[in-house]
Amino acid sequence: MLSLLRIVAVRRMRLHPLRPLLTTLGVALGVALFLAIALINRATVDFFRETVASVSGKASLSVVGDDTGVPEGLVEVIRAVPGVKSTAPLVEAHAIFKGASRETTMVVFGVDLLADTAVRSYRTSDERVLDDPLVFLNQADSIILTQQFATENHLGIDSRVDLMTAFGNRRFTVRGLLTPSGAARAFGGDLVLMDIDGARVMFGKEGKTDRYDIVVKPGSDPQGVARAVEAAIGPPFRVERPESQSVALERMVVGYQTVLSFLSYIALLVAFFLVFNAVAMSVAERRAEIGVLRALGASRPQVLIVFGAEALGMGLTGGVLGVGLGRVAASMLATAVSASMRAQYGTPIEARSLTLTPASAALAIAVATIVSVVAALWPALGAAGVPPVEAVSGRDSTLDRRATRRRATNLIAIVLLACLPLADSMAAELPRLDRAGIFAAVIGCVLAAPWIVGVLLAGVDALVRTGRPLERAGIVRLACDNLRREPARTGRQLMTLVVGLLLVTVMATIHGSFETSMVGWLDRTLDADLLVSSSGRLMSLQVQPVHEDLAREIDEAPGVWVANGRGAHGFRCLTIPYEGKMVMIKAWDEPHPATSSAVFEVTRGTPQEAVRGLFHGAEPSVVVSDSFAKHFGKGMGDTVELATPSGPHRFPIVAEIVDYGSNEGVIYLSRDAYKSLWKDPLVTAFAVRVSRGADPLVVKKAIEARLGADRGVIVVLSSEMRRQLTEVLDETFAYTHAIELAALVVGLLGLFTAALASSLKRGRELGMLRAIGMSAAQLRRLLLVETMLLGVTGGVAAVTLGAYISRCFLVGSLTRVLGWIIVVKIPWSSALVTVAAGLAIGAVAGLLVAGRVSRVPIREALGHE
Amino acid sequence: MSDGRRALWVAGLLIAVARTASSAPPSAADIMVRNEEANRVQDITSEATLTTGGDGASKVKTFTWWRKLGADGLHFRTLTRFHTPAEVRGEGILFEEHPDNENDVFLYLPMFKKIRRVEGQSQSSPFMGTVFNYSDIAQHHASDYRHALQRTEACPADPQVQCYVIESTPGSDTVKERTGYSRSVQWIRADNYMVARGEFYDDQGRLWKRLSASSIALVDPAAHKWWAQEVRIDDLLTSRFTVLQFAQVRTSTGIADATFSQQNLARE
Repeated sequence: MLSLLRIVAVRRMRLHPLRPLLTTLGVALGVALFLAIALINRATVDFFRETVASVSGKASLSVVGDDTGVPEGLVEVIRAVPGVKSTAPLVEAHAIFKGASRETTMVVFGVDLLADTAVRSYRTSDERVLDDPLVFLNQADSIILTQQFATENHLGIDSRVDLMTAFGNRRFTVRGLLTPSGAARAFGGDLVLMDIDGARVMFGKEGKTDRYDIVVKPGSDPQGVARAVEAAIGPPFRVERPESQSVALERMVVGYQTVLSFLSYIALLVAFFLVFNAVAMSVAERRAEIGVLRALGASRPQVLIVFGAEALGMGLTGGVLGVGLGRVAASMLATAVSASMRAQYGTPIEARSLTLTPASAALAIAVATIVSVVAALWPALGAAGVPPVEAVSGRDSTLDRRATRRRATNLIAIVLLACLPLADSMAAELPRLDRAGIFAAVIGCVLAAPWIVGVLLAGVDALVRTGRPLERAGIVRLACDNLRREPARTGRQLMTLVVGLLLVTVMATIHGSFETSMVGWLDRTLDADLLVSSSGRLMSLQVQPVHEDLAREIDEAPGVWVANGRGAHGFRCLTIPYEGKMVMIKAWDEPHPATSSAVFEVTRGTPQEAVRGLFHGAEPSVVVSDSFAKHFGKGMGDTVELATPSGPHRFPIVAEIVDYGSNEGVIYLSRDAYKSLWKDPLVTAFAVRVSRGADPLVVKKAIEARLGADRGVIVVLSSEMRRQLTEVLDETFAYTHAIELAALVVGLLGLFTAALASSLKRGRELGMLRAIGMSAAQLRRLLLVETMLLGVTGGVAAVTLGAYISRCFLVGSLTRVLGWIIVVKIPWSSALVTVAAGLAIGAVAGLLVAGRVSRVPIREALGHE
Repeated sequence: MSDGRRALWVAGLLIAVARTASSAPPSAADIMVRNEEANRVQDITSEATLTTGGDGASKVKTFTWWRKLGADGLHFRTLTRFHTPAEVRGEGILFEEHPDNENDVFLYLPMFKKIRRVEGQSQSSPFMGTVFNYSDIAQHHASDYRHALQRTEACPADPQVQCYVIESTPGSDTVKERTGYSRSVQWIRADNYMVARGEFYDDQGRLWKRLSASSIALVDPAAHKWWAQEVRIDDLLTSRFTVLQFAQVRTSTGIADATFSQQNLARE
């Protein structure tokens, strides 16, 4: 058996190393992407766990409420619970730091530095957290930074740092530096530590705390203490374990990671088809050789093992290469993915600690090997089934069966493609069907692509025959004939290219659909001329909430349309826990009288009912997003009970609307009701309308002048909000460009190897064409046209199938995971780019192949086979 | 032996034993009890200066200090009110010792008009950026430690006076946790039982801090109570130091109990 392997497999690889080499490279790229994404996802989870562990310190329990916090007075209640050793409050806020090179979203921790060491550890180089606690604690502008952050931004003790607070931009003094241990490790060091009283004043949280961390007495049962504390504090406050905080953070990015993982599986699928393609080509080329081997006594299992071993070799080598490449790719992608997640979630996320463990390396190699061997199985079985006499004589009795097989393949493709909506409809009950449906659809696409390409080629052929003089279109007709004559071969050549282009189409469609849905929604519902908020990016809520009193100053600016005593209309966005998930609350002042009720895009009820119920109802009512209705099964006509700091409160739901604020769900209520129940005077931003005839730009400048640049308050035009949203989405999808590029490279590799192998196999046929008068240049043109036709028709097939998959994925899977209704938008510009990319790949592959084949002498070509 | 002669012999023996006993040094525990009693004034008021340096420019704070012995005659309550520099003006610290060693420390921050509690676990940490920790400021109780007399020698800064060199180790983990020291060696003056020098070791057994007391004065002659008017403590690991100087020391002035209330703490 070993000698058979040496003679057949190894010798073949030595003689024709290019195809196995390129296939191995393709496998390596696929595995690299798979590994890179796995490492980044792992690093993100590790980042969250480290952050939670650093922040929790010795605490085994935390008392939390919603975004508006927990009353300060609750500390004595908690402290009195038996089993509580110590408790430390924590106020948390986000602040934008404008460095010389980049803006950083920092997490501000307000802690009781006189009590906090009981829970968290802080270290400096000389073991003192503060240079002078008496000065630090009595000055509201005192902050501590991590040494890492200070070094990166050239800051030191007594440096001045501007941070956005609830009262605008304020200047702080660095009065301590932490070494990267304990709490300083949280959020990758992008942390500002303040004393709790200073933080409360600066961030509008007087009398409140975001959470209390509890250290349990030795020997006490944390679960028992948790129950006792929960009973003592009562709703809406709850007790959490640090692990659940980590799980909540991980859950926040699960949708993002699902998309990433999906892409990595697609990359593996590309590798699968590369190997399948390579082995299938190899079997087709070596049909006679296999016949000879079988005639000489090689058994079917032996033939199977030979081809399996080839795939195993490519898989193993590709896997090993992929591990190295994957580690490099992870480093390259980590920054972009981290930035993308930061933009999307508005909190520091750093997937920096990429740890390649032996287990993950072994897994990657195993995946590469299994994918390769499984991919080779079908063509290898075909090789083992070759009848010796037929193979040696050059006859192929399977030709008749091939037509039947093609029809069967088309049928399977249709069934598999149809599986996607079917799997989607059942995935709510059986979540595993989700991925299975996607995979079935991708395989269906690959199987259907040759048929689509065949139809397209027939169309091109017909077009060329009718519309062009024969002599000018002869090359195109010949190319069409060649490609249509052997549909199986053409299909094999297309596999990897179609999968690569499919990926590009899917990504572009998802991106385009999100953008269309969200920007469209914003256009329809944003009925304000200006928005005033703290500096930052309002669209992703990366702004510091400001005090409602700022409205008075805004109203005094010339050009602000003040009606019913109010010009600036505040709104507050925050998340609250609801039935185990975090939903968003949007509390609005009653809109300006000139604002139409179209401010709500209503899916159930009417806009008028929504406005009347929210602002003029006999009792406080709410409007919920369709995502909320989907997740919780509560919609118009139902009531929703919310745990407010003033106790549980039931609200009737008066309408359902479209809102992309949170994938878990959004609840709208009036800010008056919110203020009375949540006791929160902060607003996220103000919506302002300008007086009739006034220029919004002029009013914007007037407000800015009135509030002063040093206050850190920014005024944006509604058109700028649209740009912000587009920016957020672009940042969110930025990392996909690298993946698309990798997919295109793999597609190019696939087409090149397949086209080269096909051309070499057609050596005699091409030699004959040369012998009857075709020049080398014409031959080059023929091969170039063939690959370009493959590229362009493959591109069209990928766009068609990609649009179908995207639609099913967006309407089914993503809608279910996110709870949003996404309007499917196929960006035709991207579709054109995809087809152009296919054409370009075809051209490059064609040039490479044509250059090689046209150099083969006619006599040698005729002697082929 | 007649009864009279026997009585005379017993009396002589007792006198001899008594004389022998009076010339032998007291036990380590006894010395430390006397040390605790030596400065246990009924109440004391003083103007004080706290200077911390060694890592750049020295920082000086001035404050007024009130201390009063509790009803149990063992535990003190102490109020410190800062005057300078301006950033700390009006800040106050109320220190309440309790029999169970769970001392309460409250800090008043005038900027926020708020009283804050210093958690028990933080009391082994530095006292407001000085080399002292909170437990250094509190009264040490002899009964919290195991003591051993190492030797008797001339006092470090006053060779004319003999000092007992006493090694003290915490009697429990709670005491060790509260003070942050694994053991200490103190030079106790034989003439007034005041500490002349102290060396304090960290939990790894390294010599961490060295304390030296000077200007020891009899502040309450009636009750025979003494007070060190200058105490310097050096952190030998970081080369930082703090000097605590007392002036205008007055004792037994009858400080009202209300002085040590949280209401008074919050009165700037």
